[in-house]
Amino acid sequence: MWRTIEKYGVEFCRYYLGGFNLVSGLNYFVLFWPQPVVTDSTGNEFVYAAVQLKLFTFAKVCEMLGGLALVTNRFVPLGLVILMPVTMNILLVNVPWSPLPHVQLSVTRNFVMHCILLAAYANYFYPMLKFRSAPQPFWRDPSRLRKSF
Amino acid sequence: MTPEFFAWSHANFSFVIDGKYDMMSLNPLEMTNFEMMGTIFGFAGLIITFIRSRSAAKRQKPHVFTSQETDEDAIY
Repeated sequence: MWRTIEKYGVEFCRYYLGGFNLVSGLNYFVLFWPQPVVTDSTGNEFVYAAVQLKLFTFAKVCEMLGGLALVTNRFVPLGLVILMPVTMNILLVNVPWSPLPHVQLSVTRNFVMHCILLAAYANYFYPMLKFRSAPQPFWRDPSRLRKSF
Repeated sequence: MTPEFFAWSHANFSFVIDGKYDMMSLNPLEMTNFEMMGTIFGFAGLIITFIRSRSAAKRQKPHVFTSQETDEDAIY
């Protein structure tokens, strides 16, 4: 029973987070729905600056790529890494500063799902935890890149 | 301006199926467009996973990462 909940729970988190980010990223360029209205709070100064610097566009491209990776179940660990700065920024900007409880809950839920997925795909991140690491450069054998697929 | 950490004291738990959403509501059924799409993707994905659980699981297994150290192409 636990194994079934575990399996389908992880799958749900992957599809939910992927779908959410993919649609959120696409909506910035295609505009299915009006962009979410920014409420008056201190965190918005950061958002306005990000929009002016085109960082917002870059974040939306990251959202689309990461979301697509999660939804299609291809390059999922890479997708999680690409999405992490976006999730983290949204969390840090909204949870302390947004006056809307729904937004706080939503971004916290996305962050929790992201952590669950990182933990679920932990086998891909264990090599990063090597205490003493040594370089084995890509350019000495580029075919390793192809083999890694 | 002081940050309003967890403005949940002002929150409510209302929910009406009227195509609108209340940003003060903590009810998980009260969803924005993006949350709705995430939920639709989530449940559609579960159905796909359930249907393909027998075939896909065999094709996609966790990889084994060898922990052996090597001198090949290493920088010293």
